[in-house]
Amino acid sequence: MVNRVGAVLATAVIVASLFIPAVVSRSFGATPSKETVKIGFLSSLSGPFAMLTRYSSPAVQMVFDKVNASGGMFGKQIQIITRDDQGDPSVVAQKLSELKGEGCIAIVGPFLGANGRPAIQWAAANNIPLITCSSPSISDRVHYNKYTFFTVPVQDATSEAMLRGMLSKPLKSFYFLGSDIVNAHEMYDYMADKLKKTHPEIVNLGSVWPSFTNQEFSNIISAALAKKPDVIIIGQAGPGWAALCQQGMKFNLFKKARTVGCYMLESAVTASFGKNYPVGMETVGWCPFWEQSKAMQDYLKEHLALTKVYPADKGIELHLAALGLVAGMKKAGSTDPEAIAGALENLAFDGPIGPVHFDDYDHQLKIPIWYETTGYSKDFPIAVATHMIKYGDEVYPTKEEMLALRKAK
Amino acid sequence: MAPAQLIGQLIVGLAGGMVLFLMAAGVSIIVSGMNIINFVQGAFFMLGALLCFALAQVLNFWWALLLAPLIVACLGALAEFLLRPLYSKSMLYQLLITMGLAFLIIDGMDTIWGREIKVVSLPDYLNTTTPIFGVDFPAYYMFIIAVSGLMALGLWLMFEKTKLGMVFRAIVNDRPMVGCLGINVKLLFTVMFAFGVWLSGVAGVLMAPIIGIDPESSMGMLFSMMIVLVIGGLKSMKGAFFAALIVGMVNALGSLFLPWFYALIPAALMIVVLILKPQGLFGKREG
Repeated sequence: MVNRVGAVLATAVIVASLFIPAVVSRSFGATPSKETVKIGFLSSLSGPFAMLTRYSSPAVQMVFDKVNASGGMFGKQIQIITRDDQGDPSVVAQKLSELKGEGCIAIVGPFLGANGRPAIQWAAANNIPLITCSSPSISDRVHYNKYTFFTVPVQDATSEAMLRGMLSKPLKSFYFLGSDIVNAHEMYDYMADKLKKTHPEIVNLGSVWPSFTNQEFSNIISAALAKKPDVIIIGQAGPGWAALCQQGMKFNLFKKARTVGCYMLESAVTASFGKNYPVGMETVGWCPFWEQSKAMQDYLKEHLALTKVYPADKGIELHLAALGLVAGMKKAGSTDPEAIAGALENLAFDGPIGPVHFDDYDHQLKIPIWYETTGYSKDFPIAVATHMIKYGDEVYPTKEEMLALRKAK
Repeated sequence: MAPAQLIGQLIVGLAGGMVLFLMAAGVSIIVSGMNIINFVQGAFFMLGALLCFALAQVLNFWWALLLAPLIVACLGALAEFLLRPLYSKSMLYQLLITMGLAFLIIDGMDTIWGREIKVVSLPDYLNTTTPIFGVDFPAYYMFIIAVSGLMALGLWLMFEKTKLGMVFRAIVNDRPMVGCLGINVKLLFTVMFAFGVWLSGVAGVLMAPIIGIDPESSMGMLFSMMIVLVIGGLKSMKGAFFAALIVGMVNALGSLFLPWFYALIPAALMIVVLILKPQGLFGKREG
């Protein structure tokens, strides 16, 4: 009897665990009714970047809530239907098809880099406009199609901004601490190749490629410091970056070398450290919530009121995607997917970081990129930038460069 | 590279190895004593780290080090009850239920603590460094080496020199015989499972100040432990100890001399060992 009860319990546990991911796929926004415009939101509610949920979902929600509060789109309320891609590229197409099956006319997301390519291919095959903040990879951008638009800067642009910022101070040598993901490799390739051509005197001391899920960096840090580089360029993010930060502080990494990377002022990470985040690191980002512009301050207030956390780079990418979609629908004057895709080309609109626009040749949203130095200000309980250099269109690949790349591929 | 730097790097590798041993020891006890590949262990490790985060905010790090592993061990004992009906069944069933439990605990942690990454701060006196062979060696890593060394010694003494250890060893070799001697094998299994989970809880607490605590990383942590166990021999605590040190050292040398292939090094080492000695470096051939 006891054995039978145990077996039933065991089965219940397994079945329950299988159903848990399904529970997190849900609708939010307007109460469903017959007269709604359905927008799909593909997010990573579970998986390695689930920690961004608190930043990603509200960033999208606040845009459509505002539209609904002011009477909706063409007199209809917007309903957001969410699916969880579990941070897994293999389920992206299936989840997107589910959203299409629910009647969604356009998609916002996904936001993880690795999930970009299947989403891009799906959008082209299904003729549904998709505004994503994933796939900053240049190799994904050559798979350009009519229906896909990008709000995260392409990898070449972030690498170029990083390079220009890095070179704003004297530099003799660099070492690259990457991770086994495409974006980190592309960042390394871009920077190493360009420096070799333009600054051959700067010594490349090599690179190390731990797994993206790695959490043990002590020997990597000491090996990197043993090479005595001026700059260590870092291609880690998420939990791995938090671990590297913790261990880096213990091994005096940030005192012994300049460190440069991406998403280092992502509040999803800096908030965890409070006042103990390393200062003096250099990073690129596009969500300077400490900026005094009215648009940014309004966004900050709204975000804090809704979430109680400071905005993050990934959040603002999604926020811009939702804003772009609303502007695209208004420009198209309809909710027809074809019309929206057409309207998004060359679309200009205002966001928390000022005026932005989609290009017609690569569907890239041109947003400013800031080269930031980490530090603290009396106005914020978490790390912010104490020094910034702003870059604009000049760091993005030109139309000719992008067309040449596409042709070469 | 100067010899001093190389020695410094090897000491860092030793610390990394000790960290790995701490993580793998709990899994090793359960695999060797109970013949269960326990996939929950990564989640228990992370639960230890999260409880450390929670308790350190209310009390302090030292109380967290004492209490968090005990709480995790109690949950481990409860989990063992769920596993009981499956002891006589195929290992596949054990694998399924332990995976199910792991996902349940991971989702539970997400629900209770949220999905943001957590970090734990140490007392100031553990945040210092001492120069050793050109490396600014953190006091906290010395602490980890000391604790792991003491735990390895304690485990060896317990298994080799105490009556409880003798009974544990007897269970590994001949479970029915131990039952015939009038020893409560069920209770011993619960104790053994809870003890293995307690070790993972300790590892979680000790690792908490040097990682980004994230329940979703639990399974990744488990795979690092599994690589150590496969290299050392699944059912050998001694194997887990030496394999962890080997992996730590090889990683340290790899980051210096083969940095391009760093992510592949532990898996490559595991494949080489599996080809040359499928039972692991210290494992005994079965059957």
